Amino acid sequence: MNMFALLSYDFMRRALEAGLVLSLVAPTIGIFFVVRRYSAMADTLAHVSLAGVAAGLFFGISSVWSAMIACVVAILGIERIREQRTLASDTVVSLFLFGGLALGVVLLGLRRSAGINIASFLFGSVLTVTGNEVLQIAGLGAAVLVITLLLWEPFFAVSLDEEVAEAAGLPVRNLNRLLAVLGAATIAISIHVVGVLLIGALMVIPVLAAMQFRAGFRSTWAIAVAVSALSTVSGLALSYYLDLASGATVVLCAVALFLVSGAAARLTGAGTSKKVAK
Amino acid sequence: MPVKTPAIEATGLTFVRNGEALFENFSFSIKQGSYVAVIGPNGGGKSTLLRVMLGLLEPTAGTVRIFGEPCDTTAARKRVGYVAQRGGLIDPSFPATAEEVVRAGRTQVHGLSDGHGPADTKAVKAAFKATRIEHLRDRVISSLSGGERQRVLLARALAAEPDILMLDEPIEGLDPASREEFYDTLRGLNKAGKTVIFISHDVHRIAKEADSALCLRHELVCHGTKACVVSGKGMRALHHDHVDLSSHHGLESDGPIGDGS
Repeated sequence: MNMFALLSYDFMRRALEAGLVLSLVAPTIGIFFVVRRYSAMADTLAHVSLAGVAAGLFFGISSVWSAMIACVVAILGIERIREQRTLASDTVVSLFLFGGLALGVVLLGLRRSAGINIASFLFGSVLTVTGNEVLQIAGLGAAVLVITLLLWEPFFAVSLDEEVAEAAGLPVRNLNRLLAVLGAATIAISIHVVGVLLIGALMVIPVLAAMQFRAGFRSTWAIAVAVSALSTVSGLALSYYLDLASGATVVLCAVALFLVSGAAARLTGAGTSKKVAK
Repeated sequence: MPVKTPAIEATGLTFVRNGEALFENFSFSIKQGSYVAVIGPNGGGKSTLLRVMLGLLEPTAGTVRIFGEPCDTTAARKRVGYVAQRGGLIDPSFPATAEEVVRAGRTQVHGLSDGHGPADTKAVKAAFKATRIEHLRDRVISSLSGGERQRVLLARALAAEPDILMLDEPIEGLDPASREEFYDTLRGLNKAGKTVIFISHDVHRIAKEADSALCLRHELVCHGTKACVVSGKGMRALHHDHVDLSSHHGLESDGPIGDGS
């Protein structure tokens, strides 16, 4: 397998560029989603993004922006219903997950005559990403990365303990909303790479792989980014040579690295934790 | 000689939840540098009172001032360090070192801006030293014992360099040796000038530490010197339902809490 030969193809270079941006951004947001047990939220926003993509096709808007707008609307809707406290949080999230997916499939079905391939949105089509789309992914990805790194300490403090963070005077509610919006942006730029059904995987699996080493927060993040990048590069190469679905192959590589990380952590003793007294 | 502003001054505090008053119309003040035990039965309103003083809950009526400022203002919040009741129950899988957790306390000083300057490093180092856990700096919190983890959380509160420490049952679930270490650390901090407000179920033990007490059971059973709690009517009011609480309301001391034992 010759990576340099792969890079001689423009489509493969663009796929790698988009994939590598995502492999940096997804675990950066993903680590906050995982430690706060927001994984279900990531999945819901991913499904809602399909409705956004479909709406974008109707209105001639870029799928990146339309997906992001749909996710932000969903975030506000979820929070509104949660605040009314008439339904449990997880049921509200499920409502948006199924509703978003169904609306997206119906809208895309209505446009089927225009030659739209639903599978490419569900499972990704990174090999067909255009130069313009790579620029959008890079621009939005950089914005997400810069904002997250600038607010790293407040996000960390809120993730560790919301009540203590609020007592310390941090605007917890607004930080939570911002984190969800950054998650929405991450999902929007992931659609072409892995598709809406597998987006959550790239935000969560590399972080879970890294957490097995039981390192500090920044170290866990750095390991997660490395796992994510390796999954993307190896997944794209394998999908090309073995003629496999690119998005799913990237996710399977991440799962494989999760297993390898677990074994490595056990071998090095990093994954073992002594039983602690309360 | 000028009179010092009280560390905390509560006036006419009432908190009603679901139509039921958790506490009603009581007032007290706490002197700077005092060590106050907040005691009372479960559901008596201790934790709610602490959350009201922290500005996390809005009272139905009344006000709380921290060094003269309303408790929910930034100026007041910067002067209070908080160790939460469930602090020892932070998700064991949370990937963070003790250093990262303690440094998070600096967000109280900086808000949303960066907190990695020399003053921050100095404050974090001092917090580790004050809690005697310098050797735990690089350990992940999941590998710490309950007692070590509680001292890390105390260090996080101290990293903000507060004048007041509010602790909600911080020793709950710790073994006796860890409890004594924790008490010892707090005693040192109090001697260094910090005002300590400590919720505890362990009435007799905390009475040895605190110089005064707030005794709560839906109302202020007594306040002032700890003698009112350990030997007086307050203890009976806490432990015997048949005692007429109204007869003890504010009996023992109308002066500021922290006047001595």
